[in-house]
Amino acid sequence: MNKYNETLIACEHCDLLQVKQPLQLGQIATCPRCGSRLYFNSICSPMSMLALTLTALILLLPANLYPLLSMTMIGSTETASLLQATLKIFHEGNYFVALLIFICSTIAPFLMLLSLCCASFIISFNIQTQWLKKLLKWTDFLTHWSMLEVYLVSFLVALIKLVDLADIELGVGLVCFSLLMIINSLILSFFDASSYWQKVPIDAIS
Amino acid sequence: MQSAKDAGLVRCGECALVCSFQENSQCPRCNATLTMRQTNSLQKTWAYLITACIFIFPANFMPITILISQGNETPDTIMSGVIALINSGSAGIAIIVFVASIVVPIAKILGMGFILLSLQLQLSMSHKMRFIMFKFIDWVGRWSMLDLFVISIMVAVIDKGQLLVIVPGPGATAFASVVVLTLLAAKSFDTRLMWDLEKDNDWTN
Ligand SMILES: [Zn+2]
Ligand SMILES: [Zn+2]
Repeated sequence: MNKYNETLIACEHCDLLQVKQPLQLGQIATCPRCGSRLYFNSICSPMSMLALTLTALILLLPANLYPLLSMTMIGSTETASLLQATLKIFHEGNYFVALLIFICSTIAPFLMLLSLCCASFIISFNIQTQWLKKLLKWTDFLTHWSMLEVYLVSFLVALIKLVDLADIELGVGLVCFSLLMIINSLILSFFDASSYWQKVPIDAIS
Repeated sequence: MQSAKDAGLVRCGECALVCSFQENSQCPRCNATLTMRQTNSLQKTWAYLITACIFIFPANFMPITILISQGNETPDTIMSGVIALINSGSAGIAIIVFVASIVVPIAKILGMGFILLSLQLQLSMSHKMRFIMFKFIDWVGRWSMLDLFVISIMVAVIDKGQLLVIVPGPGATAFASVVVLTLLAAKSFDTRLMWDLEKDNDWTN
């Protein structure tokens, strides 16, 4: 059984050991050696985080299913939603690329938001469950693979490429996707993993 | 001030709880196995980097997209796509694609290689500088996905049957592999190894 000390913090990136100080709301503690963010006092409570993640989850559906754009060329119109674009690559037989795009643009953002939503729910309503640990681990892992901001910039690049070729009309999906990206960035900047982990009870027996 | 390692403590890799370190023990909070540093971090990072190095050639020299118009196939590599963009007058977008698809993957491999070598050869170099370099490489790496997303949108929207279609080429698979491998390389690198080199705890530079 390992001893632990909750008043200490070690920097994730340089291992510098420090004593935790109480912070005012919105304050961020950074590592004096490497400058990384150590922990912070988020202005966003788990309850507000629950609301944010729920909003994002709801937006995710139209963002994936409604057309991002429609294009008229040689007399016919093609529309493309995020999911259709991924499926097209899959049908072309490029499974690896399709899977990667699917993970980074749809699955990872969805599961990340879902895990964080459930974790916020558990903490807001003080539910005792073993799932909290798993949810927090998944949230951390999936954040790295969620690339909504990259997708939005890619969309703009594709748009500029296409604009010379044909008549383009932007779709509802794009509005939802842009909103989703903004809320997702807010969630990432407000989420303080260490305050969530503090709510996980430490077993005496392990 | 000292490192957790010097104090015989370890930060849990999953939940950040500071625990006393014993071989093969578990974190009392999240049950993750505690290791002082990521196991075989340097070897793993090298392995990913070298594999990425191999894939970067087909990624750049094989067609990433193929335009099929009335039976004629026009393959496009990343570079020829960039040149086509310049010729069509969108130099700004050409620069974005050039940086995200060509400069970033190569710079990432070279930069990570340099960091690993400088660690293993114990070159004297500001730790802070080296760390900022790594942070930048780590952050910029995800932007390499840009070209793949662009391709998926183009493929979906330009589909006129016999008249005009775009399909992804073999270069796209190689390029996707490079992106994944460099992301994994950055993830398996334990930045704390940089500071472990210090013996006198002088970190003012
Ligand atoms: Zn640090
Ligand atoms: Zn832990």
